[in-house]
Amino acid sequence: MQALTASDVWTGDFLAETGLISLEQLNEASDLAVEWGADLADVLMARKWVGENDFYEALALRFNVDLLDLDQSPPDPSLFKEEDVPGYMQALTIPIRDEDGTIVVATARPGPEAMVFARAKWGKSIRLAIVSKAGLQKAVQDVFSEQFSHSAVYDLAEQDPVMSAQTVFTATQVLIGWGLVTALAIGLAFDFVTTLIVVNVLMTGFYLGNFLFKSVLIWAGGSHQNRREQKIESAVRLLRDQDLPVYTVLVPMFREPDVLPILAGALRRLDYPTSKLDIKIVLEEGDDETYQAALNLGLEGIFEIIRVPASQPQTKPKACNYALKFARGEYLVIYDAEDKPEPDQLKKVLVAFNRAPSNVACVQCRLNYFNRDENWLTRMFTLDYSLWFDLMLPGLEKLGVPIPLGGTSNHFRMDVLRELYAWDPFNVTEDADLGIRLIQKGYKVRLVASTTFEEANVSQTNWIRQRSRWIKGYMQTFLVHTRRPIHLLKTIGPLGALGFVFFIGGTMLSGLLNPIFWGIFIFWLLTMTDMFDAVFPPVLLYLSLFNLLAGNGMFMFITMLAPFRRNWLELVPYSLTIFWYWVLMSIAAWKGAWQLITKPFYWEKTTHGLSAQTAEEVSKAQQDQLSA
Amino acid sequence: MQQRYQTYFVVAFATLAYCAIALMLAARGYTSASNMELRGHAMMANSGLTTFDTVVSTFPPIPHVLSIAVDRLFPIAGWLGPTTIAAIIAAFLVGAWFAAFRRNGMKVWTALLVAALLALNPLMLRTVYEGAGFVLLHVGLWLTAIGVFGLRRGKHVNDIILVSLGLCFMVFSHPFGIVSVFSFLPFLALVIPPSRLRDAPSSMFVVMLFPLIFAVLSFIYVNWVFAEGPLTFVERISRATASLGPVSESSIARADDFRTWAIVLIGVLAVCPIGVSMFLRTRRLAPLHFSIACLFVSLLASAILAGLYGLLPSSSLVVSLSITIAAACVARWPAEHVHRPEPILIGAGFIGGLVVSMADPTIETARWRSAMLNQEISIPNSEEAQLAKALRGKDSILFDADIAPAVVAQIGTANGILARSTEEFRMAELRGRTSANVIVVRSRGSIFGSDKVGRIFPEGFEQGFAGYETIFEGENWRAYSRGDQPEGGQTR
Repeated sequence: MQALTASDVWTGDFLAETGLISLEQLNEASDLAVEWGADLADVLMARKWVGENDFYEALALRFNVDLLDLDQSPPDPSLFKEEDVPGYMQALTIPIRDEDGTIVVATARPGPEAMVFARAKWGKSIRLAIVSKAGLQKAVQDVFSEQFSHSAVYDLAEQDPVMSAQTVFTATQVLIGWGLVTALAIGLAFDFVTTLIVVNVLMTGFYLGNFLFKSVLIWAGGSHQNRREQKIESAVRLLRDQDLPVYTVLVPMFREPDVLPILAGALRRLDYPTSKLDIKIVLEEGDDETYQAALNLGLEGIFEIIRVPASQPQTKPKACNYALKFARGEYLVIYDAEDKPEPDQLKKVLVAFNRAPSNVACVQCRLNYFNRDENWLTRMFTLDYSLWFDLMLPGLEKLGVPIPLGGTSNHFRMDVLRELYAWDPFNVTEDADLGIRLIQKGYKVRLVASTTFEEANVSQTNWIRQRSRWIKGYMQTFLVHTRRPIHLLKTIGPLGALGFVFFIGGTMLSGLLNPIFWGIFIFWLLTMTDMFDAVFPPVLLYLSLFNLLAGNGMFMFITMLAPFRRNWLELVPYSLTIFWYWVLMSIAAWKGAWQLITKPFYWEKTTHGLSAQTAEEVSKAQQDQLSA
Repeated sequence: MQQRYQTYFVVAFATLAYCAIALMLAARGYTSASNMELRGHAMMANSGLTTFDTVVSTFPPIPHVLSIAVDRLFPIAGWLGPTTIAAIIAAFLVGAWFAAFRRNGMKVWTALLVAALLALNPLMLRTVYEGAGFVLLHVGLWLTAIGVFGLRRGKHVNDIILVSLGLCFMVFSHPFGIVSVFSFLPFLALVIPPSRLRDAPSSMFVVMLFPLIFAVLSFIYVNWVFAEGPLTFVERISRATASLGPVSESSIARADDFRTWAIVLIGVLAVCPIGVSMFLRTRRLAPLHFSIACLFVSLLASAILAGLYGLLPSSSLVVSLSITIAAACVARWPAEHVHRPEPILIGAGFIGGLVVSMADPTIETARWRSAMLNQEISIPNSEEAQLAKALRGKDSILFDADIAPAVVAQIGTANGILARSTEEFRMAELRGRTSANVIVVRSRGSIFGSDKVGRIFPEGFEQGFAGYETIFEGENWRAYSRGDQPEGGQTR
């Protein structure tokens, strides 16, 4: 555990001497600051033991310098440099104006560290002033707001347009689609039955391929429980705090004030020195309720709050891109507001990065749910996620197939993330897209067996909204990365391309096709009509029947296997009810497909905090907050 | 050489060896009854005499579909088709054994020796030349056994997958597999991790048995949709398919036969001494100890259950399953033992297999033994062989061949047969008369009762048909050939 900095020591002594805080408060705040790895001033203000105005006035008095209000005397933007932004935020020191060759430098943390930074940047001819931390951060954001905002939206689209989902369908894709529809129409006109048989063969082939691919994936995933996990756990114990790099944690939020206490608690529980954590709560500019809630919890003292200027598209990736400009970590991770990562996650990931080849640019951790027993949907969703993260993704990793990253808990090397222009703000599953893009650019993704627990959707309508966005995003990702099929094949290999087609394409296409086949089957079952006999010649009928029976059976079976690794076997019987889950999935798939055409960039927001267990978690987190 | 290439080599060599022996046996005139039946089914299916509905509802489906596919793709294989399928599957199984031995740390030459001893065990040879069904049963047992050994450790979902798939394979490979799987069920409790058995026993069983239950229900559904009823497949299982041998060798009759039981009970232990050794050595290694117990007890229970239900195949075949258990023991032999006794134990099992194969008195084993020793081979069903001989070269034969495909196989062609699915057969059924040149009918007094022709012409077997003369007369079958009359077929 690190001791207080020199600045904090004398700041604390000074505040106690001036009577702004008591000695008991100083001792307690010092202990907390050491424990959290935070600045003493942040702790004092978070505890509300000293008011913000009092604190900065005292500082100005102590150093005999001006106390500036940056709203009234904003800094000169020409003195700022974009590449220095992380440094400004870290040292909490910025240039204000040039007064005849003397740079007025404002800081919220006066002391040796600020002076070293200021002299390195602006030379010896400087004059110090005091500003509040929030005011300083806001000023930096204001200076770069327009530039960063534009960059957050258009960097990828301008620098690497072929990888951007800004164009939903390229001209070639439209042409191919039109060609296929025309060929189908001509076929139906000239030979109705044969054309339907051909379509049927293609769809049956797709189902069979999808079913076989997923089987192989589960097998590979199941056997991929590796010694690597044990080695990582051993290596974590050997890490020394002083050797750890700065880690940026981005938490994009939008109108989720209720879950803030969970977030604060979870982040505080991270087994990583807080002084080396660069935690940024990313809020939309108009989201005053969450901002206010964060202020009320005193979070602004410990976490940095980034307010993203309003612009279109209003998506999570755009917010993350914007916040990325202020990030100063060597590594970066994204968490959702209600996430509860396992405390040692960052260290495990760091070890994984250290042990991996240099082209491993991302580590994906597992996701699962803390409210799995709440209702039928949460149980099914838990089975779904367990299958995805505990079996399928390890299977993809083993087979060398591109891994579509999950929504949160993906950790990146910062340099690679910046090199790739980060997330695509036009893609509503920017994470999945980035996973595929990384592989295409020659990087790799690894998995680490550390889980982040989230809140599972408790409402079916809310679930459909969320899933429709995911499926729409998969469609966008599929369209983007199949624009250059040869390039895709070259960069990710034949197996990778096949896996991509079945894993990304298969997931969305099966959702779309299932209702059609179910409809035909149910109609046939009820009427025993022979109207389909012509389009189902014997071999095809047998194959379709095999797909129907073996395929559905297999998917049910692998869902049953999903909770095995976590020993949540009480969920197994619910696998038998998966049919309704598939129905919901198909509804979401059709909704996603419709939105792809009508509102491709619309971010279908998932409402969090509906779970009764989340309410409990919030209340527990609030109690922890009070008792901390 | 990489381990993968070593395995490919083993598979290729085993295929060649098994095929060479198959050629030798064929040259000596040996074909097992079940292979004969499979060949007949395949010939009928590929000649369009068997409807799609019948093909998809035939039990056991895996060997049937495979033999039909091979006959369609390689008609030149002829009689060797079904045997070749069995040989190739067995060779892959041997390859899987070898690969598993190597993964368990066995040196390449030792692994080769052990694999060869297992592959050439007389009982394994007996199995391979019995037909694809029983070899597939071995494959199913291998998957199950490997899964069972890992299951109790509770680490990998793959072990559950192996057990589930293995059980499915067993059920759909051979009728004895159904009995074996039933016998396995209670003993699976021995290998489920104790914590999971305590916390969620029903869930564990649901996971393990779901594929099996789902597959069986699916097959019943297919029968319901395509065949005459949901359980039609049960009625269609023939003795040859079930490796039960001729009627006179009824297993029900053998249920009290001390010699049979002695061969089975002692044979299982004699062929798998490595299992006994492993059971005794692993008293403190519960996962292995209980696994081997589960496998042994299940095998013996399946023999007893099959005996009680009259489904016990020849003793050699039942005992041969312990070869696969022995292979699984080698694959999971505790690695900490520096001295590896596996080759000696497997060698002892080889001798046990030799003794059992010589002691087994069943007709099918005796035929195979004679062929191996280059002695005179008896014909499995001489009446059907003579019927086939009588029908050879004839055309327009009204014959319910679905129930006697071995006859079709022995005729050598399905051309000219008017089976159930043909227009002529259906017309005869509707009109009660036929213009077929030859009518084949089974006695209602036979152990299996009338065939469909016999039901159309109830007096046909005894009285013959107006205008037809008898060309074959056996205890169960008779065949009548038409003279010059344009249409007849009514009984005299």
